[in-house]
Amino acid sequence: MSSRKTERLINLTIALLATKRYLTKSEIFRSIEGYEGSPEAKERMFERDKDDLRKLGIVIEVGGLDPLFDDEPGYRIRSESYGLNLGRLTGTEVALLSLAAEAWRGAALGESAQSALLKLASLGIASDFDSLPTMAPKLTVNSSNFVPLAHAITDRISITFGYISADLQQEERHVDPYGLGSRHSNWYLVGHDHDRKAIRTFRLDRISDQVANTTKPGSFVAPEDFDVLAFLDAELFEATKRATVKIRKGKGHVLRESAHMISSDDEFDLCQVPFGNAERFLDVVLWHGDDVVLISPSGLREEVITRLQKLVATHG
Amino acid sequence: MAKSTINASLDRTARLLDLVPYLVVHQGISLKDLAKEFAISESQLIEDLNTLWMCGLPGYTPLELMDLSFDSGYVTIQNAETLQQPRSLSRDEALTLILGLGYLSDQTDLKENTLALERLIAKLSSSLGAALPSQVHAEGAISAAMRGSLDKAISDRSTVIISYHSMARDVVSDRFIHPLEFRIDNEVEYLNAYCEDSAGYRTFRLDRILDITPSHSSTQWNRGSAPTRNKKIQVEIAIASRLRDAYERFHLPLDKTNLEGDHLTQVESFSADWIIREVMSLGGQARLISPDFERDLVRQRSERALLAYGIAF
Repeated sequence: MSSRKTERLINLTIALLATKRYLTKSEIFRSIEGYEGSPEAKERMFERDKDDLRKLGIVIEVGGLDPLFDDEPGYRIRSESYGLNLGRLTGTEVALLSLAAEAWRGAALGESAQSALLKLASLGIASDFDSLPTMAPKLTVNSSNFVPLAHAITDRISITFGYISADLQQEERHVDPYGLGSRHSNWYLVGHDHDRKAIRTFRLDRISDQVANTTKPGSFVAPEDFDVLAFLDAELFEATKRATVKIRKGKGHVLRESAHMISSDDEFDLCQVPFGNAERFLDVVLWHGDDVVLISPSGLREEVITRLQKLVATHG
Repeated sequence: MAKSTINASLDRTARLLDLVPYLVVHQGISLKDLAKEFAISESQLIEDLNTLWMCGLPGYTPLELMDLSFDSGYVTIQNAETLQQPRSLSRDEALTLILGLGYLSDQTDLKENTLALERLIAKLSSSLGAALPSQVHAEGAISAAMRGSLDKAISDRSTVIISYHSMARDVVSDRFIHPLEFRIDNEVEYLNAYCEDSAGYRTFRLDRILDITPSHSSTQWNRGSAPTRNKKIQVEIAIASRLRDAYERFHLPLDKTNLEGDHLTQVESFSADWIIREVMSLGGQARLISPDFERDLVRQRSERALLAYGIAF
């Protein structure tokens, strides 16, 4: 049963691809194997087959056979739309495309990566990996929301989802999604938040349920040339403020990466370090115990002392 | 049931359409390899090939049918011109490639290929009808080249020297290791390895590996020795407020939405140091309750830090 259906679909595809002009329904029923039964049955069969091929992404063109008698439409598949056409590709380019697909092995888009690799391998262009450095690209994203989000961004569909707020409340958010980006091993969604009327970032692992579409495609306009990484960096990671800290020699490697040394004694280096979010900076300073001492800004220094006193009081 | 049959027959149709162009450029491939490439069983593959063999142009005489032969265990195809080009990429396939290429263009080792990467992204984006590259951007835990060196060491069973930043101890040191396997835990990637310097199995967070140098030393590593693991310690922690930050630091599930007041929880780790540092980072919003020894360490370290601020007890 299913073999015969598959056979008929393949034969229909071949016939519509091979034809130079539109084929009418009656020509199709006459010449393609598998269309049997009453005229109505054939009709229904053909309608389903067309839908099925479209589901496979095959574009069936409908056209008039004769401009004078346009009562019977004809059908064909253009080989330009059926076939993979990336223009002329070099062996190096095929190798790059294969690496791009390899990066998804075992991650959110792993299945599509596998089928893309098969198509690339069917182009008949030998991939030239020798021209590239040895590398093993790998993307780690396992959120089940990743693919639906990527679709919503491409199609400009507004979405809604539950989000765990900083005080562990689940909030319903309504967002026009602009982009996805990863920084420091976390994935973020950036988009326009309807309720807050501003662009906001959302960490994917804090989305607590499945993202749902709330509109049809094309329902909003994203800012032109929106750069998700630039936005993330500016919003979450940009370090515009400066602090002076004492860092014990051989310690504080996280801070030393961006530190500017001012002076140095036997035990400590006095450094200027950039920081962005004050709360996060306090975390980092406290994390280092007595290996990092915050000198200024004085307000933050006071806050470190208050928190240390609280730690002492609660751990007596 | 009916629905899944329909999907199965569509999946199969898609696979047959993809088999033809693959065979055209892989004439003589063995049934075994072909089945593996398409992730199906050999018997399913033979069924597929038998169906394909019945397909062709209207007329359906040997002149019009595709000519497949696979009795020998090796597959060849003739007379398949109409279907010989691979199908165009699906949306998801194009998306997959665009995101992968965007990630590759961040790799400094591929600087020379920047133009080629940009060209490919542009081609694929126009086929998708959307400019994705600036909208979705990925970053890996370590560079693809560093992962390549580790992959190579794993498959060659060779050794490398890594420069590693141990966060819990806040020390950067060179380690002479035999890389064994990659592992993902809580979305974070690790490398399991045998470490010569500490003469035992160790786990390294990939994003803390700062540098990798191949080492050609032929140290004999006694693989017979059983993996020794440090003992896990378990501590009890009270989280004072509904603080997402605390839950994320200790990898606790975020779905506890009906919490009131102090929340008591158990946290496990191989490193007491790590737990103590996280508790200190939370600056009093979380309290380490037991064991006593670790609780005292939090207090002692906080007192030492206060001394550094010139505040004595």
